Amino acid sequence: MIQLEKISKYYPAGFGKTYVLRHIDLNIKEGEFISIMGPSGSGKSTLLHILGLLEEPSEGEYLFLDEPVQKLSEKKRTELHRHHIGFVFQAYHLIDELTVYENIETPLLYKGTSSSERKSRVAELLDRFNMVAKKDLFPHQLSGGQQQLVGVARAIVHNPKVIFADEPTGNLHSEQAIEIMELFQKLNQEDKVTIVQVTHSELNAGYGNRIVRLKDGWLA
Amino acid sequence: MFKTFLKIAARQLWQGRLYAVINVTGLAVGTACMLFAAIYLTDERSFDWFHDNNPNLYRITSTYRERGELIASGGTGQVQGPAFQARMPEITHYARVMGGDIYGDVRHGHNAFKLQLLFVDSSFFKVFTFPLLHGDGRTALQNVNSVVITRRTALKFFNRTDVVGELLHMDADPSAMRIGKPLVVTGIAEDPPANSSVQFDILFPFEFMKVSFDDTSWLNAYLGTFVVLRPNADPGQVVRKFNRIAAALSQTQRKDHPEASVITYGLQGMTDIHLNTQAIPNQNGESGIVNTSRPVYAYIFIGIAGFILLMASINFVNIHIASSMKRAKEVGIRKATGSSKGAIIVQFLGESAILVGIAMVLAIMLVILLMPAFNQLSQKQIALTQLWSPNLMGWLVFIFVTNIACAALYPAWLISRLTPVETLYSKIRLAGRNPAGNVLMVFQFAMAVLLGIASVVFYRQMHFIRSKNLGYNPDQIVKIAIQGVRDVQQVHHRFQNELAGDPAFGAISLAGEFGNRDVVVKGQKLLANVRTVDADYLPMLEMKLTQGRNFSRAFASDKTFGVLVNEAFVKKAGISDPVGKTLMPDDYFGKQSFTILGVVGDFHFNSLKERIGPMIMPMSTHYGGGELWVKIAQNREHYAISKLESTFRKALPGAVFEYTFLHDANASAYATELRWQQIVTIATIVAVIICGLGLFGLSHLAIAQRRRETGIRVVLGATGYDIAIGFSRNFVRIIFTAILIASIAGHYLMHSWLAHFAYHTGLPWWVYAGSGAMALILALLTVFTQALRAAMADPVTVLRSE
Repeated sequence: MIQLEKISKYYPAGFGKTYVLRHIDLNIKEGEFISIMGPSGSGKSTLLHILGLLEEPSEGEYLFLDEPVQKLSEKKRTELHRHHIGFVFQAYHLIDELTVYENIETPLLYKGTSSSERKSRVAELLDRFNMVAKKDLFPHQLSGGQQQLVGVARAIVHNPKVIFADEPTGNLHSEQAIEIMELFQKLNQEDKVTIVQVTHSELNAGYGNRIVRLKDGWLA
Repeated sequence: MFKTFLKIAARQLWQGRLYAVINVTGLAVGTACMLFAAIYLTDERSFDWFHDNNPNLYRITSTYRERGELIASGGTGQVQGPAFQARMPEITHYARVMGGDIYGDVRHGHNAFKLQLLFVDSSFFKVFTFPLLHGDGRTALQNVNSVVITRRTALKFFNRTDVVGELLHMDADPSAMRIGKPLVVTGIAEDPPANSSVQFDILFPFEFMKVSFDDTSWLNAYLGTFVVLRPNADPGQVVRKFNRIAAALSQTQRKDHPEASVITYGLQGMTDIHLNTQAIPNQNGESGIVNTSRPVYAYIFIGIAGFILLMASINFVNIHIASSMKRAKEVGIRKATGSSKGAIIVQFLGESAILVGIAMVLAIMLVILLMPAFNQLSQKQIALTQLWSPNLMGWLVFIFVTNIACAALYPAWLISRLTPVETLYSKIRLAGRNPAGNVLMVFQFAMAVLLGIASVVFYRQMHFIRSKNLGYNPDQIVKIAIQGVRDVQQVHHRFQNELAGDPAFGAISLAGEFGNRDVVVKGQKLLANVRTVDADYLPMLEMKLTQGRNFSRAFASDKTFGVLVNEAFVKKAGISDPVGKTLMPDDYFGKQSFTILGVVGDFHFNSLKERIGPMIMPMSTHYGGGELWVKIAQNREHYAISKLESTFRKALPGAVFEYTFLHDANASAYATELRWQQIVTIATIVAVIICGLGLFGLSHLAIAQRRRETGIRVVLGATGYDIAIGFSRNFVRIIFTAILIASIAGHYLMHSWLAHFAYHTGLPWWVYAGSGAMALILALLTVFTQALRAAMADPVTVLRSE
């Protein structure tokens, strides 16, 4: 589903370049649950952003669903986002002004889902995550674990093919972390969602079925 | 989708309600100003469009040379109209109109009113569109003593409008006296609309005026001749014919007056008259046209309003950009969850549109609320119902769209360019650096300071006008007008006898103004203002004689041959020893030599806009005059006026009593300046409020966004003062730049404005420094109070909450 060939990312620094990623070749098949690991500054997040079409690589080729991403227009890329990609962030990144319900609903709005379908889909997720009672609360009224649950619900509400998670448990204590990781595992196994996560924790990585290690921008 | 947008917009507005209030207030005030300017412009442009004969309705203009100067006038003589029509099939109708500045006392029973008279051809109603309530326009003005009055005149006299056949009288009018019959009302016209250049209370047949003033000269230009051309006529061709016909018919008269200038005729469209004063700068007071304006007023008005609106937009832009820091995260999330750039622009524009929409509604309410004040300030009579014209709706839409374009497009575009990686991983800081915002603020403050400078200079000049020594003392002087053909000497005596010994009255002097006339002195001709006065005039007004003596009753010949002149006359004529020298005014004063008895110290008989020119003063005791000048005692004004009125009624039964305090008469020359002073003062206040609001919002935002930094600084030992200085530094820099720009611009603008006055105040440095200092103090106060409050907050809670 995802193929990276000789992907590099660098920034101009003085007269030279600072490389963040170097010649990354990576193949991710549908249904995989991959953990990207490595020390701070090894390029994990950058790799995840490139995979998630939030950043563009400086060099190399990226095929997403067999389409060369670099050649896509911004519009086309937004389309891919809307239909196939979900994001989960370490800092949850919910929209403060929207309720739990509305936060989860947002991707469906962009996708253009009909009102009735939206209602049933959001209700289904609220039910599944045991958050029905909290649907009218605002993010700041929730605990970190609950916020991240909303984050995950938002990431999967539009039935994406792949979820990119950037240290999804980084701000949570262990019990909440376990809850989220078990949820990921379930999504991966039962719903067949491909998951790519960045994590520091070997324990979290254990939920997946492959580990990609980065060091100084190189695949280790 | 739309519903969520609305929802998030509403919550967003509620969260940032302080900023929303600032933005909406500013925009509402700015929009209201702009709407008023638009209303003004619309009204100015609407003048005279109501005539059905447009665009074929023209007036004949004359251009001639006077004292070497080319003069364009909206007037003709009496002969041109009929002569042209008789020889040119292109002219379907013509109407001569004389009046505008002509007023007369008209009486019905014991009720007399001073009315605006217009002497017009019987074709008046064919040429112009003034509907009649009663009577027939085709026949109404056919008899020499028939008149048409307006609705308000009818109501004034009769309390009703169906008054055809009623009689009116003019006791002191030369024509009415000669005809010896009362006037018969033959028609009642609707009041001329406020946006009509032709205004009247009563219409007389042209023949009525000719009874006492028949003029066959081709060499004059004083009354208005209006023509209706055939739709297919070529105006250029018509004008060429005018000049050919006039050249042929005026030949003999020209031989008798070889000194008279050649007159070239032209045409000016009726709807062009009100604003195109460039073409005809000299509006003859009797050419039927009144209230001409200059388009520049409307443009200045729109300019000021536009600047105020721009300042409000700048607030909007700056506050929006500054507060986008918080929204950046939202934009990042939205993009990561599948939003396109366009959707974000639409969302932010939509939110702004809500604010702008609220501001527009408020602006309309402001306009409705302030309409009376606006009418007073602009001297217009615009009804609220006129607001719903398509033209103004167009303006409303235009302002709405420009508001959004100016205020919302840039921030929306800026924010839509943010990428999720930038915003969600705090790779950029939007707060603080905003060079475009700084430039906008410099502009905004420069405008406010410039307006401040202007209002100070306007105020200083008006104060200068009020406190300037005019060369005479206008205190407690009342002028009473005596209209028409009256025995003024007898009226004067009557007043003197009645009021003699009354301590409420000082001297009572008879005076008359005869305008600028040619005076021959030492073999040269020069133009001098002529005013008739009597022996009491100079002492009453405390004027100084620099040479010679005042008029005296002891010398009988003073009455006919004595004259006083002013210093400017002596200087212009170049006489070294003026007393005893002779001069000769024009025909009116009997083609005889006058002997200069004394020289009066120069005094301002015109407004301070004009230099003091030469003046001669023969005696009113012989040559008459139309005004009684009375000095009245202080604090007895009320009694004095009523006493004057009762005396006037006894002396002139049936005439209208009209008085003016000399102070008011003098002030009326500055009505326009006073109005602009008020407009600029209001604009300054509004500008300062908008700038202050904007600064308040921006500093509030900056401080909110740097709470953490402030907390850390306080923990590290910074005092509240240090913090405030830190926050103010950028603002101070902006304001100093603004003061510099405003001072330079203000210097040029104010110099050119003051140049309109022959006598004016200076522009001392402190005008600029003072206006600037005011802006600076206001800004520092705004920023400091907020910064101090931020510094005072407990750093521990601040840091924990982050």
